Amino acid sequence: MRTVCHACGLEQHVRPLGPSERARCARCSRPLLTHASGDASRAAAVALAALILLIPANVLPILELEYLGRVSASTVWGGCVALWNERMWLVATIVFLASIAIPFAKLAAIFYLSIYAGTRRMVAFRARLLVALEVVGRWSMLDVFLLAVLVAVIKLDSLSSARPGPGLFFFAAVVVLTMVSSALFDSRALWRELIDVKSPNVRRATEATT
Amino acid sequence: MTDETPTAAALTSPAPSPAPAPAEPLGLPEARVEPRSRARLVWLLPILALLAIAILLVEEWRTRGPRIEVEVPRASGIEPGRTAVLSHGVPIGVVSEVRLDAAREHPIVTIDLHRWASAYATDGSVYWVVRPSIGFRGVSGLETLASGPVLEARAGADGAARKTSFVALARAPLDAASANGLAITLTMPKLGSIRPGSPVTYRDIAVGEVIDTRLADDSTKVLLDVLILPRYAPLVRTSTRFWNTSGFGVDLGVTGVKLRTESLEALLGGGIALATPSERDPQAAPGTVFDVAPEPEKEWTRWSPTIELAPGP
Ligand SMILES: [Zn+2]
Repeated sequence: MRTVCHACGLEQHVRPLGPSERARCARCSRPLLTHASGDASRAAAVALAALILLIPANVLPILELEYLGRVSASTVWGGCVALWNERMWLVATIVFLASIAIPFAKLAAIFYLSIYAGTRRMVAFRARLLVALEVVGRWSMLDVFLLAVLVAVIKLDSLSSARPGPGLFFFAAVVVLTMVSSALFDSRALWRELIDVKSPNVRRATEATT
Repeated sequence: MTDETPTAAALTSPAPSPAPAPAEPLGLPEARVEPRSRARLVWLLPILALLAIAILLVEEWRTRGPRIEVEVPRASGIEPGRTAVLSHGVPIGVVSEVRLDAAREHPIVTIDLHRWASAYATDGSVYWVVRPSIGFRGVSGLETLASGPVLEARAGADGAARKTSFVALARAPLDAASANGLAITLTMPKLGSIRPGSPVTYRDIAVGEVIDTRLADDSTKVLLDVLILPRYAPLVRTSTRFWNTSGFGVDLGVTGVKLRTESLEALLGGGIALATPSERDPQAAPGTVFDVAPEPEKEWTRWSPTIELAPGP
């Protein structure tokens, strides 16, 4: 098949890859293509780890403020509820979507798509999920949230004793793992594989996006 | 120009290779294909994540102490996860739930004590709610104005039986309010404007405070529990006289703290003064009962014994 190197733009031919093979660019030697299930298993493992750590990241407080003996521990979910109760519905919704719902959905989708890479199950659904992931996935903004919390910790420290809660470390781990699994997740390889199956549903899904 | 340098040609376009790869239909260069290791090690990550959660749960289980329930007079401001449970200012647990009892009459606060604080779940442990209140020492519990109410606790004696259900005291126990002050009881025909928190003064200096007011068991008079600060305890002798100063306009400067003046005056309208005739009389024992006169006799105000105060603030 023909492909174009992302790094140097050279158009080249790649012979069909085996499950444990990788193609490198003929000119610049950057990784060009991998077999769909190769990196997919890595992406699935990292996404699974992130999904697991998402539980303590959301259950444990990410920020602990202590003021005269009264400890106020905040979780991400608690923050959303507080914003909602303050009648800041739009902000509450955005924070909930960008910090809880979409990151979870994105990781779950990466895990699901990666674990089924190289199989022929539910091809049409996977194609649609892949489209949704590319559209919605960019609204996963855990890193922005993390930055906001860290700024709060540093800024508030002079006013009261603000300290990062145990949840923040899990939160940071989730941020890193999400980045790694997104980087490992090769949606092009999955598209190629899904089209190879030559399902009419996939063609329809593909045409709908282009 | 018929000949280019070979390197430039290789960089710009695929050079016509003398031996082209067999599977190269359009004359494209063939990408290099290399074997790569299968990713097995990376599956350690989710296992490590599970391990971290397991450690967390074990740690939580290890540090969790007894769960107790405290019935409080009023639960306003007490919030699960936010309200501190303190003993001498040290957190000993967290409020995990606030609900009403089965009869829906009294708020019940559930507290998860830390494991090391299990002595606070024994018979004899006491709990009370600290809220901002105004008394002769100015405003007490002021820190709770900003932070909301705080639950304070004192542990029972060592080796006491386990107990997990408590009724919070209406106010801080006397020993916690002021270590080793002199507790006495005053009697009056009627309460007038005296309230818990009303000052007890000597030469217009506040030396003590009315802690509680109640009706005598035979309902013939009003009893006042009064605490005299340790430093001023020597002023109270067996011969000491007390009188009601309500209506004299006791001047109490709560300097630095500006509050609503009307309510403060209303609250601080009443007070009790004391005078002692002679330093030779024995000091009053804790629990001594004195009558409160409605007005001072002329000579009481002229008494001027020389009494050494106890050391301290
Ligand atoms: Zn290249």
